[in-house]
Amino acid sequence: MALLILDKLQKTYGQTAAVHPTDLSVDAGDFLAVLGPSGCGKTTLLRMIGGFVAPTAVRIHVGGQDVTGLPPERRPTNMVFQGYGLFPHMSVRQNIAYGPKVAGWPAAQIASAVDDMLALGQLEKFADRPVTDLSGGQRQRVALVRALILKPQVLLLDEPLGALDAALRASLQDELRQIHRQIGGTFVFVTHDQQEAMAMANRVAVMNDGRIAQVDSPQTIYGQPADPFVATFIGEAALLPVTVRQGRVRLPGGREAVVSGADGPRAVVLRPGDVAPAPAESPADLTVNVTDSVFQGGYNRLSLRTADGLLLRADVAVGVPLPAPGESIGIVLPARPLHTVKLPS
Amino acid sequence: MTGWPMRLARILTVASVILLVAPLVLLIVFAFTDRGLANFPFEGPSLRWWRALLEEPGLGRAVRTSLTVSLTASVLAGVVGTLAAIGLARLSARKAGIVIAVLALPIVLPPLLQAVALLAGASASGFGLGLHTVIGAHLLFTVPFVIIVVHGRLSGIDPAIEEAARDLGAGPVRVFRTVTMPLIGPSVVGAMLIAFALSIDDYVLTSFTIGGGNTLTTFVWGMMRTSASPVVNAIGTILIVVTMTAAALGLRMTRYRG
Ligand SMILES: Nc1ncnc2c1ncn2[C@@H]1O[C@H](COP(=O)(O)OP(=O)(O)O)[C@@H](O)[C@H]1O
Ligand SMILES: [Mg+2]
Repeated sequence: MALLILDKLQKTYGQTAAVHPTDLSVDAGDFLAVLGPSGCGKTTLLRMIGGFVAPTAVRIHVGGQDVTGLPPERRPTNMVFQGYGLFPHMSVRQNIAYGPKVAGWPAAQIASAVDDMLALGQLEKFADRPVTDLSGGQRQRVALVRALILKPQVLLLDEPLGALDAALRASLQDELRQIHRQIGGTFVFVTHDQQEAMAMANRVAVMNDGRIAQVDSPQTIYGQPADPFVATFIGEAALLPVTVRQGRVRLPGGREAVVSGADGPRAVVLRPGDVAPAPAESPADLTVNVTDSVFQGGYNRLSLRTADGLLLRADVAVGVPLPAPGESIGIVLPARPLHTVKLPS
Repeated sequence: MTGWPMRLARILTVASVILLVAPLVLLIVFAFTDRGLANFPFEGPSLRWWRALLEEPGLGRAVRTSLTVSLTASVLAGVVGTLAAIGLARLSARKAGIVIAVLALPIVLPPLLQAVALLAGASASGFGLGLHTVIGAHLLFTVPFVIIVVHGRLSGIDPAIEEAARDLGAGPVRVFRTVTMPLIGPSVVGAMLIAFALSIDDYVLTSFTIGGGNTLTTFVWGMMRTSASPVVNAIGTILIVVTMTAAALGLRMTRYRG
C-alpha cells in the first residue's frame, strides 16, 4: 500500500495553473525524484505535501491519514528547504534539537537523539558552533538531520544540493543515498538536474509545465521515455521521424525494424549509445555526414547529420577507427526493438 | 576619485562635521566654566552651574515628566510598531511599501503643521491637553520609525526559517517566541532606544500639546526666555549625553548582523 497518495492535487494562482490535477503515489522506502525544468511546479508540488501551500483542489494522504487540511506542524512530513532555513541564532546542536524540544521529549532522549544525528551528518566537531559559521555542505547536512530527527514518514527535499558546487554535490549525493539506505525512510526530492535525479532516486517523476509526464525507474525513463519531452529532457536523444505499420518501420537503408508504439507517424528515440558506424561491407541503416568528432576520455563522441538535417550523436569506443569530419558514413541502429514516442509538435 | 576632487571632498566633510559639532562642544565647555556664557577668553573651570542646577526650581519635576513621557512613548512605540511591522510583513512588498510611505508622513511633515492638527484634533474630541496628548503626539513620529526599522529587519529574514520551525512542530505562537522574536529582538530594542532619543528631544509637538507643566525641552525654552541662565548649558549637556548614548546604542543594535 502506498505511503503517500496525491489524489488530483492541483494549484492555480489566479488564472495560471502552477500544478495541473496530478495523481501520484509513493511507496514506503521509495527515494522519489521529482525532476523538471525551472518553473514547472516542482516546489509548489512539494510545498503542498509539506503544508506550506494550500492546494486548490485535492486530497493528500500520508500513511492512510488525510492530511489535506492540516498545518505543517501537524503533518507527519518534514522538509529540507531550499536555502535550508537554519535558525541563525542557534548552534548546530540547538538547531537539531528544535523539533524534539517542541515535541516535549525528555531531555536525556533529546540529547542521545541529537548525538545520533550529529554522527549521521558527520557534524560532531561542529556541534556547538553557530550555524552561521558553517560551510554550505555542512549547513546542508544540519538541515537534513534536523528534519530526520523526528523520523518523518516522508522526508521532503527542495533542491537540496542546488546551492553547492559540482564536486561537493557529487559527494553529498553519495552521502544522501547512503543515509537513505541506512535509515530506510521515504524521501521525495525535487531537482532540475537530471543527472542528480538518475543518480539518487529509485523512481523518477518527470514534470513538465505543471504536469507529471512519467513516473518510472531511472532505467525505464531513460530507455522508454513516455513522450518527446521526457526523451529529450533526460539525457541526449535524437528523434528520428518514421511511419509505423503493424509494429514495424522501414529504415532508410532498407531494413525492417520492430518498434514499440501505435501505428502512424512516430519518432524513434536514439541515444548516443544506440548509434554505431556500420562495420565495413555490412549494410547501413542510415547514411550520415560526420560534422565533428570529440575525444571524451573513455570514448569519442561523433556529431552526425542526416540528409534531412537531423542531428545525431554516436559514442564510439576508443580504438575503433574514427571517420574524419566531413566524411559520409553509414550507421547502424540496434537490432533490438526500437523505442518510439509520438512526433514532437 | 583622486587628486584635487578627493582633497576637496575631504575638506568639505571635515568642515561640515566641525560646523555640526562645534556648537555642541562649546555648549559642553561653557557648562564647565565659571562665567558660563559665550564669553572669550575662557574663565577657569568650574562646577558652579551644576550646583545651581540642583537648586533650579521646577527642574526635578520637568525631568520626571520627560522620563514619564519618553519611556512610555518609546515602550508603546516598540510594542505597537513591532506588531504593525509583523502585520505589514504579510503584505506583498509593493503594498507594504505604500503603507510605509503613508506612515512615514509624520516624519517628513513640518512638526508645526502636525502640532496645529493635533491641537485641533484634541479640542474637537474633547480629550483636553495633558501628558496623554504629549505621549500621543510622540507616538505619531516614533511608531512609524519603529515600524520601518523592524519591518526592514523582518523582510531580511529568509521565510524558510519560520517555515522550518512550523515544519518541526511549532505552532505560530511558539514560532514567534522561539524564532521570530530572538531574530528581531535587537532591532526592536534598538528602535525603542532611538525612539526614546527622538522623544526626549522633541520641543515643538510637546509645547503645543502639553497644556500645563514642563518637560525638559519646554523647561529649557522657558529658562532661555526669562533668565538666559548658564544652567541651560548644564541641562543641554545632560540632554546631549543621554540622546547620543541612546541613539548610538540604538543604531548599533538595529544594524543588521549575520
Ligand atoms: N506564490 C505564487 N504566486 C503566483 N505564482 C506562483 C507562486 N508560486 C509559484 N508560482 C508560479 O508557479 C509556477 C511553478 O513554480 P514553482 O513550483 O516554484 O516551480 P519550480 O520549483 O519547478 O521551479 C511558476 O510559474 C511560478 O511563477
Ligand atoms: Mg523550485
